[in-house]
Amino acid sequence: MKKILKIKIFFIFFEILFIFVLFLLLPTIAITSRAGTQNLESDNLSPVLSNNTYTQTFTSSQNNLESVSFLLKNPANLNRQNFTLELLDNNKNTIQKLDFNGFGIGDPSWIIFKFPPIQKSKNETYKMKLFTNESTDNHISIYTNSKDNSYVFQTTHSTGNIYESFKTNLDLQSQKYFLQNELISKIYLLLIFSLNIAFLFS
Amino acid sequence: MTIKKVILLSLLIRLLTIPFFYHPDIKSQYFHFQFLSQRVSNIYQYVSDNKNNLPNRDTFNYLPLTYFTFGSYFSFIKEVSLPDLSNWLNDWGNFKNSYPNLSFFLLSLKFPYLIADYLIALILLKLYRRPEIFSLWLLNPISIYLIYILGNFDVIPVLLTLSSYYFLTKNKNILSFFLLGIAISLKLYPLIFLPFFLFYNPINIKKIILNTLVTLFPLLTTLLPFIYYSSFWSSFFGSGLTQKILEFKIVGIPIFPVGYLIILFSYLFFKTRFPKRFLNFEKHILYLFVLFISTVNFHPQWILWFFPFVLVFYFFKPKIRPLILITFLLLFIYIALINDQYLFWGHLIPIDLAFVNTPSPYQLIIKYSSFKPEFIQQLLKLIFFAFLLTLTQFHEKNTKN
Repeated sequence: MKKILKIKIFFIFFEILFIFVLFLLLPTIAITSRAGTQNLESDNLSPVLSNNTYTQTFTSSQNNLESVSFLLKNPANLNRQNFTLELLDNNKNTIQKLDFNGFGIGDPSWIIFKFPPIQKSKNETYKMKLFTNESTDNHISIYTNSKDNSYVFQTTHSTGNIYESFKTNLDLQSQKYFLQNELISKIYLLLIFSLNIAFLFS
Repeated sequence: MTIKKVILLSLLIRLLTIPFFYHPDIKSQYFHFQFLSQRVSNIYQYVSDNKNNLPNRDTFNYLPLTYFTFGSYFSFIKEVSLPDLSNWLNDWGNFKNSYPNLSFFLLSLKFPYLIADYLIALILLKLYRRPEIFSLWLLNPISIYLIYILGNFDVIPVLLTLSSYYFLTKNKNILSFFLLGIAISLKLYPLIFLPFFLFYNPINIKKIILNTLVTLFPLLTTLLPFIYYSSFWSSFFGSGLTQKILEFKIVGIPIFPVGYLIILFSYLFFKTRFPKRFLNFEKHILYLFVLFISTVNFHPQWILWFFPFVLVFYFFKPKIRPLILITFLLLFIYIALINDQYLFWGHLIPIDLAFVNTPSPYQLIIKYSSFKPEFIQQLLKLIFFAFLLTLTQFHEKNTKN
């Protein structure tokens, strides 16, 4: 009798552990970076010409901003010119700078500019600036959205320390739960609960 | 544990697994299957005609019966499932997986796999009359991974192949070969097993011809309406099993077909010499499995084709259990080293979308070491081959004893 009780307790413990690991521990440990402010809608392509600057302003939705990216297109990988991508703060000071070559750009590919996390970036406004001083016949294009004259871009932010990451993850899981279909969620949970009861008392 | 407890526990494990693990194959397959509910009967032509307007431009690389079977199932669940299921299937943009009900979509789409899974357990029980095999099938993590995490429909042809084997052992040949034919009409892979089925009974040319015809009947009848369409042939040859089994060559000779013939001859030899030998069939399928994983660039879900037979052998031959366990452990390492984000962290996107950007073992090895993951994979394949040789030695010893 005692042995059966022990097995049942072990079973409940293991099940709770499984749910905890799957939904909370794994995302907390494995996810080190999350998507931040972004604009992924595109309806056009603009050539990146020499001596022009392509600027995108954004307000970071989270702290620990750690990367900004533009979506570029280099058909048949023909372009070999040098480009610069800068990140400027609200006072127009360059705080990060990346030099890259067209050779590394795909058809299309994100130019991901990763830097050490900016801790207090939440609600701060930044500018991404792309330019080249070299002219070439083989243009690289940037994806744009003509509706609001913006460029396609994305940012990521570091999840921070374990405590911050766990808290973010907990918030996200609870938000997700409430976005799900309520009736099906309830039926599903009831089914899991009933199976547990049936197994434990069978 | 009683059968009732095994069913309850395994069902609980499955219900906690099915909704929270994803692989994009299930979405791309059902993207095409859904067109049956829009009364599209020739999916190959439809995809070819509308290629530029479809949100997913992949061709449909499966057989007609696959389309009609799962298309019919989709037509049914479309009516009873959540309304945004169709929106999700047709969304291939930037927010393709940001659907809060993704877990429930997966639950409804994988439901037929659950039925097939339990029927496999039942057939294994009837075939070998050992409740432990029933429990082993339902409670081992490998079949859960292969069926629900990878989420491919291969479990249905696996069920039909196993049912076919069951009826073969009961001397119901016509039913057996007909079921094998249906399995082949869903996915061509059971053709690999056909010669082993044909030579299961004492050799009789007349019966072999009849059984071959019965097997090919469902395939030919379901292919017939489509053979005049070039779109069918171009889509169908887009899938890679035939190319993959011929890919690995030594001095220009493809290894898998040669190894396959050796295994088939060994099977025939033992079948003729020791017709009553227990597990002769399963043992040769195990050889085939090890040959397959060591010489073919396989998709992980293809392991399921062999798995019920491998599991039976594992159960009845405790001496080689460590070898089989190590093989599967190395197989998981091999799979983790495939350059596909969705074969590692990507499985967990129903839990958190950010998993898709978490570096996979492949990316980490590239970043932090001078090794190429492909090189490690080739080494693992060599180890699998060494296992195959060890297994045959084990077979030899046992036969002599």
